[in-house]
Amino acid sequence: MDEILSAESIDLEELKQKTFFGCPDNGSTRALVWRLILSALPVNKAEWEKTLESQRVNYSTFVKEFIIRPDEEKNSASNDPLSNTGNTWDEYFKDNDLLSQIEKDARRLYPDISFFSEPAKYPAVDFIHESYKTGMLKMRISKRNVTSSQSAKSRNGTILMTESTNGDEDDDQECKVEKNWEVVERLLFVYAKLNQGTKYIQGMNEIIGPIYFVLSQDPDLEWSRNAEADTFYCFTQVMSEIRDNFIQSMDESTSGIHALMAQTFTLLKKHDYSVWQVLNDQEIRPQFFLFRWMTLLLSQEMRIPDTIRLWDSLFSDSRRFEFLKYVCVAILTLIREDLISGDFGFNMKLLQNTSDVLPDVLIIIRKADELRQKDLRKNSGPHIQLLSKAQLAHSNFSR
Amino acid sequence: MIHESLLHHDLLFKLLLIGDSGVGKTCVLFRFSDDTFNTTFISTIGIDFKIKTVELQGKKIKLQIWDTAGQERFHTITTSYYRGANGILLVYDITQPKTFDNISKWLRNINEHASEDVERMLIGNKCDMEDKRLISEERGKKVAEENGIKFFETSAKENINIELAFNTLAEDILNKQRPIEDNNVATGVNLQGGNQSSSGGPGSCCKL
Ligand SMILES: Nc1nc2c(ncn2[C@@H]2O[C@H](COP(=O)(O)OP(=O)(O)O)[C@@H](O)[C@H]2O)c(=O)[nH]1
Ligand SMILES: [Mg+2]
Repeated sequence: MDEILSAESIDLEELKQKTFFGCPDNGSTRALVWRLILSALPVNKAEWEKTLESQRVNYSTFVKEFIIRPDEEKNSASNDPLSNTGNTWDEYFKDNDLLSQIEKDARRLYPDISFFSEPAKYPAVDFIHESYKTGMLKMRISKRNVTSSQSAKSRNGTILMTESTNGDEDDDQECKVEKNWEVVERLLFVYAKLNQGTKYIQGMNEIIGPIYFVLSQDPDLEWSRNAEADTFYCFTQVMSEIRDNFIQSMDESTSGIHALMAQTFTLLKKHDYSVWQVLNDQEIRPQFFLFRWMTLLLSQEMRIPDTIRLWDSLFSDSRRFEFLKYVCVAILTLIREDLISGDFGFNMKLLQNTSDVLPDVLIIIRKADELRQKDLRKNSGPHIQLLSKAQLAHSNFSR
Repeated sequence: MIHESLLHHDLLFKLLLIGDSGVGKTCVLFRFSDDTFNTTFISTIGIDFKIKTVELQGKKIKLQIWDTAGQERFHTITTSYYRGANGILLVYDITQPKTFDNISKWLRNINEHASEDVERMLIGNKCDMEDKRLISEERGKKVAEENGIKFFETSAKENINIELAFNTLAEDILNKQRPIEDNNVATGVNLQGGNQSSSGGPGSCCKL
């Protein structure tokens, strides 16, 4: 892998094939590879500096535009929103609804690890100018004001400027320290503002979480200090490919989540008829579990190191996210004994709490690869070549 | 397995938890099913599922409880569960007026998607947070009365009224079913009046 990465112009196909079998867990490789295969970084190294620079400047402009400026405007305007009938206030209130929605989910991201509640290494990322710090703070404070003033308004038409959040644990002193979940919150807010069609949908937090986790823990500080901006571009890329799963109006379309779940069930029927039959007989519908599995790329079904390892393989899928279907089928076949002997209640519980029963993530990936290769061999198409190369690399599985 | 055969008189009720995101549905469910409270639940995506068996009026009743995601996006997924539900708990947060304002929206959802005789119940959760309360108990009561449904204030955190709420709901479903059951002693009872079309999920109420 180091060899591939050392080339002046990186062979993306080769890199993907390698990455399918996993990036090393230490060092900077994974963070770099994810940037590359998610197109947040060009393959040509000569272009890196310029691209990164412009992406990072862009991101800081978004932050200024969506977070700092509205705050400044609000503070310079009259303090009484009711006397102001302009759009700015309307927008400001809407933003705060959006923020409180994002905040709730960002706060409860991966509670089983401490990372997201730890202070961010680069809280007020220095590519953004100094006022950013105050911008962040102001945002938090105004958020509270507006939450409470809205509630007060709906009751008796007056504005109370008291604080009311359920953020029990953050003292005001602590406001100066920015935690990792707050970085995630800001990232999601900027994404929502830029993507008015989707805005924020629950579950996006579970997609961006592992990406930020990987990028911000890069031991190479030159990279990790820019984790926030770079995460934004990686996330945007992933979302552009899985967005339809998140959009309600796409549900029934051929690229929507229902089609995806149906295809996966068909695949299951083909590869493990007995399991398919059990689920079918017990009327366990795909949406009872596959909905979550697939929209979140399985991130809620396993612990974060396993999710990350799985995503090496998912991201390097040349027909992204085709492989995901095989992974889901692989999981089902790997727990087939339990499923076949279980009743509806048992099986539902099992399918919704897989993290305790799942075999090692490498076994899942290997199984999924096996199933996919079986299908590819049968339909022998243009992918067969690519595949045998991958097979050769099979030895990499032993960890 | 011996147990299975004794289950002959047991009943299966399908319950559904709905309400805005963050009001505490998942916590309420965990308090009821596992008697635990955890402040750090991850957000519910799509639907979740728990089973708890209770004993009411000398009958063992299996409660199959479906916990739903509150966000608009998930409505197509979650409303498909309304149909087969015997009971629906509509939860708001007494510290978040917006979640209270949305009750009418949720009630409309129930009218549109649930079967007509579904038992409904309104829950004002987080009643342990008296200092942050923004919706009085009276207002909750009033809305419930206007809609002819029962109402409890609960706290998943302090374990207040959780069991009472679920048991009351189950009992109301049981009582409703009694007259039908008397006419159908031998056969399974289907509260949906023969509606077989709904998908697996919380299907119709039935004898096991
Ligand atoms: N104080 C208090 N907090 C609660 C209670 N129930 C839930 N919460 C908190 O409210 C937040 C959202 O709870 P959750 O069950 O995930 O809400 P859901 O989105 O409706 O499922 C969590 O941080 C819980 O700790 C309660 O009874 N009292
Ligand atoms: Mg929940």
